[in-house]
Amino acid sequence: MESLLDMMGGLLLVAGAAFLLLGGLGLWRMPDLFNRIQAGAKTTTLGTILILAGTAFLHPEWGFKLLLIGLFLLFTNPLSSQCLLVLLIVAVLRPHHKQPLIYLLILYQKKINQKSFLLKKKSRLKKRFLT
Amino acid sequence: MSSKTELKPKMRDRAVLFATLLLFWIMLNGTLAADSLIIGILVSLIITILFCSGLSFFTEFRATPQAFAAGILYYIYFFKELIKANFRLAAIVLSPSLPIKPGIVKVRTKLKSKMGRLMLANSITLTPGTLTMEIEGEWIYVHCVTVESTDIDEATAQIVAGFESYLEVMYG
Repeated sequence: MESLLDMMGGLLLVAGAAFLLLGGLGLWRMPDLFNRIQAGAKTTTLGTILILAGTAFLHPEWGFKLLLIGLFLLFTNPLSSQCLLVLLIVAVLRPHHKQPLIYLLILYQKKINQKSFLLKKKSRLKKRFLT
Repeated sequence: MSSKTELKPKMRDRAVLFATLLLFWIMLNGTLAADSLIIGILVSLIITILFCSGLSFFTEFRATPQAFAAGILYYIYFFKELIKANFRLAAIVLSPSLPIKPGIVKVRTKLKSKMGRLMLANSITLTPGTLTMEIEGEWIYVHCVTVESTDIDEATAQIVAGFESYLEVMYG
């Protein structure tokens, strides 16, 4: 019985670590800020929750506290990534434009959608993978 | 608008916030000893006074059986979507061609309460390929990794509708 719990806990820990690793890979591979934050927000939440669950299997007496920590993460993690995104855009674009935030967001997107911008990024990525 | 009607819901929110904080403190400590309880009450009181407009888990929660049932269904649906989101992201990240088509979509929500909107925004952030950027009244600006449609109604049906049906019962 105990070894089964240990095995489940170990599997969950490995799965959580794998998702966190994929998140890191996403941060590196994604072409722009928005997509990078997307990669970060999703994988860190599930990865951390899986690691907490794995710990709960290994130490059942901590289960309740780990559940509370998981709940807290579930509420704050997406919020923090959203705040980070808005603040980054304010820091990058606000000094040059005095418009409301949402116009800045759209402006930023237009900048990304310009073909040259994306192509430059793509060729840089290709170089990185080929050499 | 008299000040009395304005004050009442505010006091209720504060009481709810205080109770939630104290409950969390007691659950994290795992004891009901006098000294830890006194510290918990003091800290909860200070936080409640300082951040009186803050939200807590049960702010504006409708305490009806339907709301609790919807809450459980909501979490089941939420975890399903979260796992789906992670696998989709993993597929995108691991494929050599990086198949993304990013863009910003504007969607509309029917939810009125602050907590409901917060939960909706968080849920959208954690669902496949979408990230909440800004809420402006009933409009939510969502960044998508792969844009499927820029039409407001279609995008609303795709992104918001699944969570909204549960949250509407829970918070309104």
